Amino acid sequence: MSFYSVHFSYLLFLFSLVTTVCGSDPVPDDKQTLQFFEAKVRPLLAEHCFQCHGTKKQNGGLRLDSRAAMLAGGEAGPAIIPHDPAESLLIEAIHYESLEMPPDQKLSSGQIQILTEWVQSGAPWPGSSEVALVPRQHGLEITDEDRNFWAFRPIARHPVPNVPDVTWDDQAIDGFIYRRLLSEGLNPSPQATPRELIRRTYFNLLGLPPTPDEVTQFEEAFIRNPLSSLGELIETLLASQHYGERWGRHWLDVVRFAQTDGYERDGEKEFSWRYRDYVIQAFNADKPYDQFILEQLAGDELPEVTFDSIIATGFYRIGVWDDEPDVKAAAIYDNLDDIIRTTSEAFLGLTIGCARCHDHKFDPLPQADYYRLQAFFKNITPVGTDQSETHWKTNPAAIYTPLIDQQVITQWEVTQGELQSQLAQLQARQENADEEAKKRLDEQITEIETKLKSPSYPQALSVREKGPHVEDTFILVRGNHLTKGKQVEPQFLSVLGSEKANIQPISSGGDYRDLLRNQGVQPTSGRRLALAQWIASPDNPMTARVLVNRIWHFHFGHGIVATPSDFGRTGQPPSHPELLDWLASELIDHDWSIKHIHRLILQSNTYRQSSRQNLDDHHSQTKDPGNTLLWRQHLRRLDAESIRDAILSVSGKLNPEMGGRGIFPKLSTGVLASQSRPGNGWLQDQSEIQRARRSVYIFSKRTLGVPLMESLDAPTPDKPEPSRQTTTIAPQALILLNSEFMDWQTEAFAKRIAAEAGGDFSNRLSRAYRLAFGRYPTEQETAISSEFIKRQESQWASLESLNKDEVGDRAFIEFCRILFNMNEFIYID
Amino acid sequence: MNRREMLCKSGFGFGAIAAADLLAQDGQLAAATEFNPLAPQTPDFAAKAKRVIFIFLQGGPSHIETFDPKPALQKWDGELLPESFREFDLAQTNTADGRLLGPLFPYHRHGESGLEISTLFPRIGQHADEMAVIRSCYHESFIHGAAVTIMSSGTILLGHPTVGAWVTYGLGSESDRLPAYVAMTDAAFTNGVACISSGFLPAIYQGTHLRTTGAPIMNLTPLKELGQDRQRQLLNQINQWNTRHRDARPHDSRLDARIANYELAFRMQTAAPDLIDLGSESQTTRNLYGLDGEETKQFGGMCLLARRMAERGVRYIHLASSGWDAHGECRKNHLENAKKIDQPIAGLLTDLKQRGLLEETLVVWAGEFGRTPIMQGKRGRDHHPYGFSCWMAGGGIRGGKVIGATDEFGFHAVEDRVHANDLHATMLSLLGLEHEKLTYLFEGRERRLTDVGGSNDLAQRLLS
Repeated sequence: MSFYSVHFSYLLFLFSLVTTVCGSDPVPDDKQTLQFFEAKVRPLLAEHCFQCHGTKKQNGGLRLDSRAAMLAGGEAGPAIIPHDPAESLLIEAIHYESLEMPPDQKLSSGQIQILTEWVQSGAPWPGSSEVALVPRQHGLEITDEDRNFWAFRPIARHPVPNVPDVTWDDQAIDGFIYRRLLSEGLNPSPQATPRELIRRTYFNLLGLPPTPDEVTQFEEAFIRNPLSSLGELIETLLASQHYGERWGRHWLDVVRFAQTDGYERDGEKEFSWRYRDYVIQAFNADKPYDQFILEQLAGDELPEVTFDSIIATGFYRIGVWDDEPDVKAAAIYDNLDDIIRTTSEAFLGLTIGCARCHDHKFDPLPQADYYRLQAFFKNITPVGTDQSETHWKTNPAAIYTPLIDQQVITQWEVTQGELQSQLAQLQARQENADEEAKKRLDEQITEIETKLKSPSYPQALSVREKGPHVEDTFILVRGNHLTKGKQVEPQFLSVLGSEKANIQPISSGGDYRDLLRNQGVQPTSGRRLALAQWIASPDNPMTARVLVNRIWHFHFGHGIVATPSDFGRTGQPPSHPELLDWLASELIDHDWSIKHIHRLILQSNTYRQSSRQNLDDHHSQTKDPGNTLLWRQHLRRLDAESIRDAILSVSGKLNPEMGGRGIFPKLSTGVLASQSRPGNGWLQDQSEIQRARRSVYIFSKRTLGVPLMESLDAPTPDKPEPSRQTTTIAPQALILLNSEFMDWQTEAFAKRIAAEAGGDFSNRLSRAYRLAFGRYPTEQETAISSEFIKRQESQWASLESLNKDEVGDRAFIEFCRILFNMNEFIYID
Repeated sequence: MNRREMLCKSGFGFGAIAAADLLAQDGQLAAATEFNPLAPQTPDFAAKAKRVIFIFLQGGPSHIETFDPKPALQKWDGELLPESFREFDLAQTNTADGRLLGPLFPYHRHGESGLEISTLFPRIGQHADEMAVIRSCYHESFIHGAAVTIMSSGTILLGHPTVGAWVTYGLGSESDRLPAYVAMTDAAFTNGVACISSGFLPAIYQGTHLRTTGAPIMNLTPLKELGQDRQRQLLNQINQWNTRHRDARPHDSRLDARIANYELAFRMQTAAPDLIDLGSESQTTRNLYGLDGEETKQFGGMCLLARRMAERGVRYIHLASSGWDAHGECRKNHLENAKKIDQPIAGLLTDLKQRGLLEETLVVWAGEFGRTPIMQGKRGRDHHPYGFSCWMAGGGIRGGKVIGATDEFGFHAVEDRVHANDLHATMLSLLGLEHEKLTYLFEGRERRLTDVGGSNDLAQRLLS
């Protein structure tokens, strides 16, 4: 590029800035701004300023490595006033007028000119994510500016913008999306085909593919009436049991669900599966989200306690638990920390865990807030501080609650009576028995005594509290359990109003609670109920926003807020703040119905857009390559569960059985050996039928990942996981080609096709394509497939052990293997 | 735009390679790939080091017990830290009331250089004249997860590419049948796959986990009956269809990466069994790495595999040794862990040297941080990022030298401070890559491994 052209484009750029800069400060993304900034401004700042005013040093309390830092300034005040170089300290300093910066040598006049023009043009700093991140200057004090941060403001229901395009005006969501596309000069994409739409919606809502007949019926209905057919489809899917299995799985990621403790022994958390089943049922029943929150956080303190609400409190118990901590007293706080982090991230989208040791560096979350939150959980019985204490086998009362009603108790009392009379008989016989018989009787007596001690009630892994007196809570200086600071009371987050919690101890009420009292379950403090009510309130600005953003995230692959569990300043700001608020108000106004939000999203034009890029539309591709503003749908790779479940479904092997402890896929000895105790806790002889159940039921063991799932990015459940990675690595190819699971599935798929389509090749091929992709093969594909199968047959024919039929079967199995490995199978348009 | 950028940012790329590969097999194209994103790249300047073996000590080994002798600390044993240190936070202990703990192991001088190394590593000590010990490393995080992330990707934020991914992106691969970036661990990776992630770089630059127990790479063996031929036919067909699928959906590197991964998977099927078959190694070699010793066999096996990978052109090899998090009984912990790795690492250095590979292989030894001079629990030490040690050997480094120093307590790095970003800039420099030029456009900004920091001033000192 010649000198002149550089200059020319540079001038153009300045001109364009001047025209767009009026009003709010720009965070422009266009290429010329970026080039000017990256080519001229940033290198200059980096070379001459960052060393003393950057990450490592902040001389004069000043950083110059982000726009926000410049605006915040240092001891001498803001470094820049956008559009006003004459008033900007930075410009003054580089002119050596007041301060003399950089101190060793004055910048050249050309360099001074660059910075001056940059400030004059409003100091645009590309990449908005970079902008806000400066450590807080105010310490503990919460300012109006803090309260005014977008996430902490009350939810405001904005009017739905009008859309000037008649094809885009049916749904409210579209107004928000379309207006933004218009203002950015981006072109929305055409609608997806009916086939793309039904596959997308099936996978999004159920994590399973539609059957060929379902595709055909939908395609026909869609031609007659697109909107009503889509509406009907959505209703059918939302009513399916598989919906809860799919969306429950999303929630299980968010709350770090697993069925074992982690660490070396990685013991099983018995009955933790009831929590998983509760979540699935809650989604299926469209349990109002506020109720869902109340049950998980305080299901034992509600006016109406149910089995479900007790099981829901397993929320507190499904995290990592170290049965052999270095420092026991500290481990108690680590477990509380797990609860505090999970609660604040899952429900509030805040990373309050950062405030355990010091005030949050970026968000207005003082350290005291962390401990005020801790006070709500302080009375929870610890799981235990080492393996010998308070675990299921030794002290079940600390973490388990019997699921009992009067009938069960009566039944138990009868059993108890029977056992006692048996015991009496045995004891009587023992008196006259010889040595050998005595020994045998002893064994029987012990057996009965054991039975008497542990009633065979169904149990729930649940929260329990220690008793009516709650220990005081103190700020721990630097998070150290040994250095107690000021005492704190349970209190809500300062930045959200900081009211003191109105806490009423829960003494009695309800049949079930009374029964539990009789069984020795301690009354509770009422603290968790107060917290749950504060979180599950329409007035809490975080709760509804965070939830609707999660739903959005799972439908589009990224949220309106791209960091679904971090709505603070370290997270990303919303791409469409008004839409986020509109959805949040819809959720609250419709009785916190998650299915209502699904309906709104799934019927929108935005959702129905094609994921294909218009190859002539270089503009949208260049301007928003990440598709943040949704000028098309995202092409999505299926997640681990959906890939496995789709394979099972297509092969015809999927066993729809729900619930229970879980399934144990077959693992090689090599994989089992990676555990610290090889093979420990893994059932190795489950039936094939059990192993063909949906992936959400795979036993979730912290130290043993199922390779198929792990390689396809199923998260390790140690921490809340709001947003999975999607990697593409060679082991995925190896697993989908060569694993035992795939051998099993491809064979089943081939058999299914033979059974359903008979011997005719083109029938078979059509059936295979329709099952795998929901469409018929093209002529070209038919030709290629037939050619492939012929080549396979000639290869297999070289094995003398096979007869002609077997050769044909083998070839078709290999063809099925290919279908499962095709991008079309795992990437959904 | 250079080739590297063009590959990653334009719609060409992997689909083109796969197609080229297919054509090549049909004899229609002589040279297979102009567009291979993993093709070897010319570095920014000539350098001796061509690859890296990064030995990562997970949990954080104590610098005071390994490579940074602090005799003065002995006299302070049981005392409080001076006032000036008390504003510094630590993970679990408190600088205000923590009592200092004297060094738990004596040091010996080694080699002509007289480099001081603790008695934990007598065999590594025999390579003192090849080693440059940096005693002034530091960064900002005393929590494992974040510290591992800083040491592996230069920032505490997840989602950024790791050093191995950057190096692979910068230099490409010398092997077309083994992954360019391989990671092994003797237990689990701290942070899981995040420590070998490609972050925002294209997924093809992600590390591949080679298992140390059971089958090293799972599902390598296809059905016995027809073997490679059958697999090749399958692959051709899959690639043909996936390429068609991709062509209709340009600008999506995931689809390219998936196609390329099937090709890699196929070549791995022949190359990996050969790689992991140690049958051809002599008894002398086995002894060198301690393959027959109960304590040394696991890490020894990893080190021997690292050498075999170095021979076969793997660009970046990450070896994780676990369990260094000595909150209690640091002496016992370090003794046990050191026994597992001393002989294997020494063996690796000897073997690389005798095969002429050491000159071109940069060996780096580091943990995510060091450990506190103050005691925790029962003669243990807490996490310590303010000053700790690492060492490098090979890759043209002139050994037998010490760079930087911590204060008399081993608390702060005080002389020639080397931030994690500096360490990374230095590694890149030793490989011939300029850390300010190795960039990738992401979210509107040319990103670097070293972000806005990093200095490679150290590289010249290491080489001279």
